[in-house]
Amino acid sequence: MVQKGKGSEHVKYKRFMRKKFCRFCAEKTPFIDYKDTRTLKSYITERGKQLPSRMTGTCARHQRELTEAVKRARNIALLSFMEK
Amino acid sequence: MNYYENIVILDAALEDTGIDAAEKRITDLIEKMQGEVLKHERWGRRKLSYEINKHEKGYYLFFVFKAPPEAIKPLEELYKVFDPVFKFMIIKLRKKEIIALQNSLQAIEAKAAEQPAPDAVPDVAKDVAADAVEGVAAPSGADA
Ligand SMILES: [Zn+2]
Repeated sequence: MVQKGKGSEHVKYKRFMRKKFCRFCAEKTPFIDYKDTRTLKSYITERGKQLPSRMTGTCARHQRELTEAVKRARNIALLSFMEK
Repeated sequence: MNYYENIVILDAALEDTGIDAAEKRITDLIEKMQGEVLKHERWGRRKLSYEINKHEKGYYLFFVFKAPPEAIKPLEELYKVFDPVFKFMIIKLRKKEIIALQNSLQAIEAKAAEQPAPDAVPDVAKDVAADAVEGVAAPSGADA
C-alpha cells in the first residue's frame, strides 16, 4: 500500500513538468543566425549570460551553435557581454 | 572562391557623404581583389550594446561577398588604418549558410523581375531597427 502511494505521488510530481524540447530541431532551422538578436535574446539572461540547455531544453548540437552565434553577436556589439 | 559576411561599424558622427565614400572604398577594394559584392545593406545608426573606443553609437554597414581567401588580409589591413571604421567582423560562410544565401538572392531576383522593387527593407535590418528603438526607449530596463 505504501509503495502504491509513493508511486502515485511520483506521477503527480511528473505532471507538473512541461516537456522541454529544442526549438531549433522542432522548427528545422537550417542554421542559427548571429544577426537575429531577437531569437538570441530569449536564450540569455537579462544580465546577458547564456542560459544553460538544461533550462531551455536546447539539444547539444544547437546549444553549441547558439553559443557561437551569441559570441559573434557580442563581438560586433549587437549583444552585450554583461548588462550592469 | 569563398563566401564571406562582413559587418563594419563606422563613426556615427559621419555625414552621409562620408558613409557613401567609405562604402565605395570597401566595395572597390573587394572588387579589386577579384571579389564580388552580392549584398550590401545599411542598418544605419544604432546604439552599441557596449562602448567601443569611447563610441556609444555606430553606423552599421553589412556586406556579403564572394572572394578568394587572399582578399581578406588586405581588407582587414584597410579596416585597421581606415579612420571612420572602429570595429569590423568578417565571417566565412559555411555550407548551410551559403545555401540560405543563394535562396535569398534568388528570391530577391525573382521579386525584382516581377516588379520594380519599392525599396525593400530586408528582414534582418527591420529586426535590428526595432532593436535600436527598444534600446533607446528603455536603456535601463535591466537595472531593476
Ligand atoms: Zn536541436
